[in-house]
Parts: sequence; C-alpha cells; structure tokens
Amino acid sequence: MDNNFVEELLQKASEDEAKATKSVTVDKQIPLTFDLKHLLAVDTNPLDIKALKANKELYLRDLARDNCQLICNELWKLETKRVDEAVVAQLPKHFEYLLPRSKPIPKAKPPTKWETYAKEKGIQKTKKDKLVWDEVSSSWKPRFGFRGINQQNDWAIEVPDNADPNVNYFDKRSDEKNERIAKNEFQRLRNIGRSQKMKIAGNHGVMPHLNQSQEQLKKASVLAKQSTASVGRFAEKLADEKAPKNSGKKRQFEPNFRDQGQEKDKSLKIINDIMNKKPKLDINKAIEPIVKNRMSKKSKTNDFKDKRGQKFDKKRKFDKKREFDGNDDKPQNNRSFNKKGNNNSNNKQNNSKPPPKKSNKFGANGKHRKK
Amino acid sequence: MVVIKDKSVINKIRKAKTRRGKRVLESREPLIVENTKKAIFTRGSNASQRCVQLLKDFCLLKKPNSVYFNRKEEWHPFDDWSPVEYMCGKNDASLFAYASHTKKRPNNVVIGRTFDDHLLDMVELGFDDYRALNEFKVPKTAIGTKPIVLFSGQPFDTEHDYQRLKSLLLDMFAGPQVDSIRLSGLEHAIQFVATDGRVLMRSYKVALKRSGTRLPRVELEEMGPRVEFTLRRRHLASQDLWKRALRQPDATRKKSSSATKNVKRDALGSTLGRIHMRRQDYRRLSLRKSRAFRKSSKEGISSGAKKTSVVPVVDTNDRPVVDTNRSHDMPPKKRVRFES
Repeated sequence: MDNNFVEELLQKASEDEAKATKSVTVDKQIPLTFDLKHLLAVDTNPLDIKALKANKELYLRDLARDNCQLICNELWKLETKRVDEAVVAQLPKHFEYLLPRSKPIPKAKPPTKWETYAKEKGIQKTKKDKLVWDEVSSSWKPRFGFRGINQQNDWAIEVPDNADPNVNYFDKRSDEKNERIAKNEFQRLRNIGRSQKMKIAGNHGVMPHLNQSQEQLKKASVLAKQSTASVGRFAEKLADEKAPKNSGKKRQFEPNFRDQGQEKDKSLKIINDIMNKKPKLDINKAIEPIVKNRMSKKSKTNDFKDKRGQKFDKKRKFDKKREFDGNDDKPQNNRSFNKKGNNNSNNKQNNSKPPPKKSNKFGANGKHRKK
Repeated sequence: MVVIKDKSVINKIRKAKTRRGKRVLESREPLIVENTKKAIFTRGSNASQRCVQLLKDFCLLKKPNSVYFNRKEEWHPFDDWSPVEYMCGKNDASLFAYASHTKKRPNNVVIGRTFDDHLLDMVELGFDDYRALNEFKVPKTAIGTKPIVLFSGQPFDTEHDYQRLKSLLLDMFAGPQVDSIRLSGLEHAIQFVATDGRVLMRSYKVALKRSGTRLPRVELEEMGPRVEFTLRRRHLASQDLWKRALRQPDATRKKSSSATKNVKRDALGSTLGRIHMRRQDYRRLSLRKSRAFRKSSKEGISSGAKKTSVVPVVDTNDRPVVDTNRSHDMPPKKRVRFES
C-alpha cells in the first residue's frame, strides 16, 4: 500500500514536472534565429493563414507569446550576475545581426608635432596634480587658471634703475601675455593646417628687424605689396623702382586654340632653324683666349692702373669732357685727367703691347682714341 | 583653397567656449561605440489627425531618444531629401519619420535613416487599421525599457525589400545598446508580422509567470499601438553604400574564430582542445627524456639513483605507456586529449 502511495506521489510529481516544462516549451518547425544582444527573434515559419483570418488578434498574440517564450528561454540560459538585489543576465559581447552605423568609422587622428617628438624621445606624459604648494603664500594654489600659481596680479612691479620712464610695465606685461596667447593660437592652428596638409599663409620669413638691410627692406616691401586683395596688381610703383628679381610668370604656355596661320608659321620657323643651322661665331669669344695668352706671356701685371693707382674701370668715364665736348650738360669733371699730357701711368706698357683688334673707345693708353 | 569638411577639425578651429559644449560636440563626432540612435518625427502640412497620433505614439515608444516637431514641414522625401538630411544632421539624429496625408497617398508615413549625414534607406508605409496607445485601456510599460523585437513571416527572410525593412524597423524600435539586462525587467515585446503584402505591428506587455521550472511562463497582453502597414514606395541604399554603412570598427568586431577554433568547454568547466596530428610511429616516438632514462654509468647504487634503463613499453594498441610515477621529473602538464 505504501509503495503504491509513494509511486503515485512520484508519478504525480513527474507529471507535474512534465506539465510545467510543457508550459515553457514551444515546438516550432523551423527553429528561430536569435540575436540576444538586440533581444531579437526572427521566425521564418510559415503563418497559419486560416487561423489568422479566423481570429486575427488571438492568433497574433499566441504567435507572439510563443516566440517570446523561446527568446526568454534563450535569455535564461545566459550567465547571470547579481547587481543590487537584481538578477542580471550578461548579454553577448557582439551583435550577430548587424545594423548600419549612423556615422562612419572614426579615422585615426595623425599625431601632432609634439606627440611625434615625444614618442621619438620616449617622453612619457606625467600626471600632474591640480594643486601645487606655493611656498611664498604657504597655501595650495591651482597649477593654472584663476588664482593660479603663475598668475601675476601684482600691484607693484620692480623696475631696474635704467628703466625707460615712458614704458608702462603693467601694459608691457599684459602685452607679452597676449603675444604668448596669440603665438600659441597660431601654432595650434598651424598644427591643424599641417594635419590637413593645407597651404598655410606665412610671412615668408620676413621678420621685423631694428636696422633692416636693403635686401630685407626690399623683400618686406615686395611682400607687403602682394598682401592685398588683388595680390598687388594695382600697387603703385615709384619712379626708380625696379621689378623684383625672379618675379612674374615662370612658364609661358601657348593657348590651346589659335590662328592656324600662326601655328603653321611657328612650325615652319622651327624646321627652318634646324635645317639652316649655321654656326654662330662670336669673334670676341674666339679671340679672347689667344689674346689672353699673348698678354700673359709678355707682361704679368695686366692691370691698367691710372695715376692714382686705381684699377682701370671701363665704366668710369675718364675723359668725360673729351667725350661730351659739344653737348656738355653735365658738370665738369674735376679730375686731373682732363689734361692731354697725362700718359704717365701707361707709358711703359705702351710699346710692349700690340694694338688690340677690339675697337675700343679708349686706346691702350687708357686714353680716348682720336677718330 | 582647401575647404575643410571634417566636422571634428572645424570644431577644433571654431572651439567650443564651454567644457560642456566641448563634450556635446565630441559626442556628435564619429565614435567607435556609437550613441543610441535618435529619431525625429515631423508632420507634413496636410497630415491627418491619425497620422499625427501615430507619430506621437512612436515618439513615446522611442523616448528619450526621440524628438517630435510640431511645426508643419512641407517635405517630399522621395523627390528631394535634402531638408530631411539637414534636419537629421542638426539634431544629431539618424532616424526620421515624416507623416503626410494626400488623396493619392492617404495616411502616409515615411520612415528612414541616414548615414554620414546622407540618406541611407527610406520606406513609405501607408497605414489603415490603427489603434492608438491611449485606446488600449491598459497600464503601459515605463519609458525607456528595452523591448523584445519579434519578426514573423517568410517575406522577412526571403524578400530583399522586406529584409531592409526589417533592419529599419529594428533600428527604429530596438532600445539602447546594453551589455546586460535585468531578467525581471523584460516587460515589452513588439511584434512585426509580414503577410499578404502587409506588415502588422503589435505591441505587448510581457508578464513572466511562475512555472514549475526555472524558466518562466510568458504571458502577453496587448498594450501598445496596433498598426497595419502597407508598403508603398521605397528608396533603399545601393549595395556599396549599404556595405560601407555596415562596416564595424576593429575594436568592436568579433575576433575571428581562428583564436577559438577547436576549443571547447565541457560540463565540468575544463577547457578542452582538439589537435590534429599526423600519423606517428609510436615505436619511434621521441618522448621527453629524463635522467631516469639515461644509462647511468657514473652514479653508483650509493647515490640512490635508479639504475634501470627504462625502455618505453608499448602496449598492444601501439600506444606508449607513460610511467606516471615520474611526476617529480616532469612539470605538471595541461590535460590534452589526443584524438586520432
């Protein structure tokens, strides 16, 4: 009797268990696909159209209930953790079903100039405290900012004995600070520009100097002219002012479409030049080495020197008076060469040298040749 | 003249004046792990009461990651989607819904999403049977609960348009990305059923009842908006744009299975590895040699060393018998099962 009773109990227990498990199990033809990180369940089983038409809401609810049951069963399989009296399931780390992103993947930022240098040198970033102990005031002060250790709000500034009385040292301090800020900002923007590989407008190395040389002034003036909206097109030029060296277009290109006759002429000219090539003879250049050779054989000191011992310079107009006899607008040359008989310096060289073939305004003497 | 389009660079040049502002701008930049997608809900000038009601219901479902705009916007998304992109960009939202009502397209809702401030996908849905949230006299779930999303019906698996629609609907209605969920907090389930050219949407409140087992019995009660959509026009992303949008950064990408191939954990918790070996001649195996194997000529009996030269014994199955008493010679090894 007892045995039967125990058997019955056991049987009932197993039946209850079966019933209980049945209540949480769902049979599906095609198993569902889950993405637990999304709490997503995709059911590809075909729908029961008859049931759907018969009682739509009931069918849909049952369908939803079944699918929900299945996903809950999956979720209960996950590892759980206790967080503040609640049982929390650890969802998988990665998504199975990928959704498109809203923004593209971030690009790695190129390291700044300092970062590359620090990496190269092996400089590590050290964590600094916000507050620093200040001995002077014997208090903790912030490293930067309001009431910081570097802030200078002195009501008096020590000034050396040789101080300029017209200089406002307070202003000077604040100006220097502003300059530092501006410099930092400039460098920051330059870093950004550098990372973007942009052409950054600079001052081309033109810096302010106290006593500028002519070259520096020229460079500065040229740059200043260019630094207008029209890039110097309408800049006024002084009378004596020359165009700067190496300015203007570097290369000239012919237009794509032009007169056919012109093109023909140009091509023909090229051909003619090639075909009718004649050797160009520069007589002066040809003679120069021979002349030099002869001259060097006969005399070593080849310098023409005048009475004062200064070197002969073609550009210097010795006999100005002789040259411009009739049309003398310029003031008289007070030099002693005006007189005729001043051949002293070149006398010894006179006989040794052959007369140069070059038609020189000035003869071998250095004197003006009489025509 | 180089025009900088990169927002992060522009934000560096035009710096934020406050630290909070700076943080806001940084959160709007492309991130490795993105913020929850925000949705904007706008109505057209001719949107009907039902349209507006639907938008407001969806907005509530998506709260707090949604914005509803009261102003009537005259948009024609399928002709010109630039105002959509602009609005989404300004609000840092990647999802949008625009409702309108015309004679040709009554009760029209266009839902879509953007990628990189450009339109990605857009589907026009017309709805007929619609029962609003407030028409269900049932207590609702709290705002912000992550819902269980269910998709039923073969079109979601087979048809390309429906596949994209599935992705779009999941994007719209799935909650924020989380690492773990409180099991008792599974309160909301949204179901989409695709039949007969329509998509039926149902939303239920989930009740977890006690069953005899560890697993709970799920009971549902309809609480949310009930809509039946018909697919109208659609503008889906091209294949390469779609691929580009799906790309995940390396940090979040699943590690390739080569690191975890042939590794299993058994029920006892021990990790088992499977190695595939070439065929070996067991008679000529070069086992780990220890002092005991050496034919000791120097050591006498007085030192106490073993003098016997051990020859590996081969059993009938051609497998070497390893002398387990040599544990003091060898370091402890990890258990590796050889499977032929």
